[in-house]
Amino acid sequence: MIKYFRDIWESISTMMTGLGITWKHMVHIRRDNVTLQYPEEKWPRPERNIGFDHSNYNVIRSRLQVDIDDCIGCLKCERACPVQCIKIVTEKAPTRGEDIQEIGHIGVTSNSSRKAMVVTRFDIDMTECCYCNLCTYPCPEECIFMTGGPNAHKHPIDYEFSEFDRSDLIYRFAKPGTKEGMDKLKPTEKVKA
Amino acid sequence: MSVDQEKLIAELVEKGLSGDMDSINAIEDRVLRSKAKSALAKAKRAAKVATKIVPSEKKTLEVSIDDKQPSDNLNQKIGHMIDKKFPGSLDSELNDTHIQLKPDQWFDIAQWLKSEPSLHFDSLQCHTGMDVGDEKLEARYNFHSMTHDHYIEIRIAVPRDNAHIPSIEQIWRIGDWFERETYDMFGIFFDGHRDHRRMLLPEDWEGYPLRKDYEVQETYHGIAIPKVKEGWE
Amino acid sequence: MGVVHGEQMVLNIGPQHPSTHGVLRLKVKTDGEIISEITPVIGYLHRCFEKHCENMTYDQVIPYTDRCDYLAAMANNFGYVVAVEELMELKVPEKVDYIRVIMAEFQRIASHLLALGVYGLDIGAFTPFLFMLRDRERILDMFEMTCGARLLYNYMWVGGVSHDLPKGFVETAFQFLDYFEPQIEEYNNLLTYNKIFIERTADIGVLPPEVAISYGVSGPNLRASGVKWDLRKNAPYSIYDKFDFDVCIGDGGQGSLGDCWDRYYVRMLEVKESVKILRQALAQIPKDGDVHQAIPKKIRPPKGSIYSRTETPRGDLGFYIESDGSPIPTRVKMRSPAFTALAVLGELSEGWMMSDVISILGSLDIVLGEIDR
Repeated sequence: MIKYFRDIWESISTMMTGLGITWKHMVHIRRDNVTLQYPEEKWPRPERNIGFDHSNYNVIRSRLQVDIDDCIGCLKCERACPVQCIKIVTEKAPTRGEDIQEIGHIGVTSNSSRKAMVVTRFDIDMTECCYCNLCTYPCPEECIFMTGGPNAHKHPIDYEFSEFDRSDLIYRFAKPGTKEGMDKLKPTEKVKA
Repeated sequence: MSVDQEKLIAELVEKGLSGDMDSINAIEDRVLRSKAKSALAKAKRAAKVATKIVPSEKKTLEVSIDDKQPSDNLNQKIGHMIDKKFPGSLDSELNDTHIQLKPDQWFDIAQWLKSEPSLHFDSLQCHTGMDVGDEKLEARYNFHSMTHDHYIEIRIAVPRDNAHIPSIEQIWRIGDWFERETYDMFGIFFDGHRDHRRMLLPEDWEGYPLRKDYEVQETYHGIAIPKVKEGWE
Repeated sequence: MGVVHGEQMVLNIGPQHPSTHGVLRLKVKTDGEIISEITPVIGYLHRCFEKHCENMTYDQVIPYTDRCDYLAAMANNFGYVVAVEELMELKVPEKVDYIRVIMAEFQRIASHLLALGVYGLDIGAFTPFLFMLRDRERILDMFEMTCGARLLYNYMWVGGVSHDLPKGFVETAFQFLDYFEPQIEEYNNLLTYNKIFIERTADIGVLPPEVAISYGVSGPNLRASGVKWDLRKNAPYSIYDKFDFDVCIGDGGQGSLGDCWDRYYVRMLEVKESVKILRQALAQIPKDGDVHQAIPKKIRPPKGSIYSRTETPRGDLGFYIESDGSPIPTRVKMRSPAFTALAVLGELSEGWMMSDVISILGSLDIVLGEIDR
């Protein structure tokens, strides 16, 4: 009999303790609220101070971006990708380090290394990409990177890149017309084949 | 590479081996710096390999030994004990890493491993299958004893097209699920298992995926299995 | 009046269910409300992790290990990296060890918070879930500061880590720990000693220690049954032997030893112990050191095989790796702790009622990604 009443008393007292905690939080809602009201308040520019200073971040995982003018066609990122979502096709440039005006190929990268290859195809399939960032580490020119964060000076952060059609998510970074331009430049090969 | 470049690199490698990386990192020319770092890595690896060649493995013993003194290594000691109690069950020489057994007396050996007080292997930690090539499949068991805190590994090799091993799920209850998974992935049949069916793949799947000669089937219930993407080849 | 005999009914708790912690199918044979047999059916999340590993180099496997137990990804990375380093006999710098332990302990707190919150949600308590997730978000923000990702990190590499700790990490971590310790008291008031919660979880699903060991159960589930076994103390890896912490075991505080309440309470105690370890590690971490110095250019372990285990928030995670000297592993087998925990569910839940099964399943803390791989 005593156990019956003790159970009732324990239930009521523990429930009151729990309700007291939620009541306290409700009363102090202006101080304790932690919700970010997306889409009016977007990270990383919150109107309220949630999170840390953006400049302290080592790296941010967001959309991949390639500065195609810097790419030397070494294929290191293609080999490093664990899901094989990068496809690169390169052709030998006729002269090393020279610009080719017809296709917009710039012969020297921003780190002053002379390009020996012309990149005719650089496709990244973002539907396969697992955002592991393994392709950015081996790049000698740092031309493939994830936007935003420490790379914000190259490209502002972009994490809202959804499309309506799945084939729109295959990003083609090579300049359009590069392949045809290269074919036109080498008529001797065509005659042989 | 020119001669004085080689000399410079040799010098930097010496410094790097003793722990001084600043002189390498201070070089402006990127090509030379990377050459120095790769030479340093090669030198470090050579040094490591040189210290690792220590003859620790015992000479290969014959299968049925009776008066050789076993080493301190647990696999050797217990292999010796198994051979004394169940003669003819060892499948190869004793070594430091594992005990190789024949599948016939495996159930009795397993019961003895659990019940013998000085061994008392009461938990089966991991059960793997392995495709070792030349028409053999292997099942590998890792045992651990909570009371004595020691580990051994046991391997049982069976021919590929007639893979049958006695099941030990009555002794260690987790053997039930582990053996089902190994059957699912490799096709090793465990005789005496009370609920022998596939675990992770659907019941009507054909083939055993983790074998090296596995070809994935083209369709499953009318759905094409390999992915087809347009604009991406 | 005679006794009414019901007949057996087979109820299917389907793959899509809010309380089964993933895509798990349970075939439940019940007699009225009392369970007579449960058969778990798994394989809905099978992604052939082990087959993929046979086509990739050792460092490309690490994003795949993240995705196996997606709620405690640092712990998976840690387990794999410790196994490969043992196979290669590679020694990492001290700073890397400290960073790895700090990340693993933060991950343990985050994973336990989620487990406890979701367990409360299964029972029916909505408030503690959101409070625990709010604190978990602060830990995920710290991870984001270091490696950019909130859930699937790819942070621990063979021979080191991918990035050093950023500026201000240690101060932020200490601020978080000072904020977090009183919160544990709040959680105890909200959920742990709540009478309704105790009625739902105490004395239910008692797991005897011999059954637990025979089923290979490990981690908090085993410790709640009274067995003092923690890999960080019994078989220390990395630098866990430098820290001073206790192994928390269940004591049947509200009911029998090894019931659901004990499993819940052991996790709560482990969060406190992790805070202790973190304070020591953050105070002792060396200030300077290169985290990339021991990362090999090409990972080529010698021929051989190894089985090594680490302690994740769910139990003992074991990796059996066999290599034949090439940069691509021959076989990587991941022995997940949740696999063994789910195997014991059938034995635990016989004779209990339907709502108790949800309670038992929640207390075992399974993640289907780890079970199916």
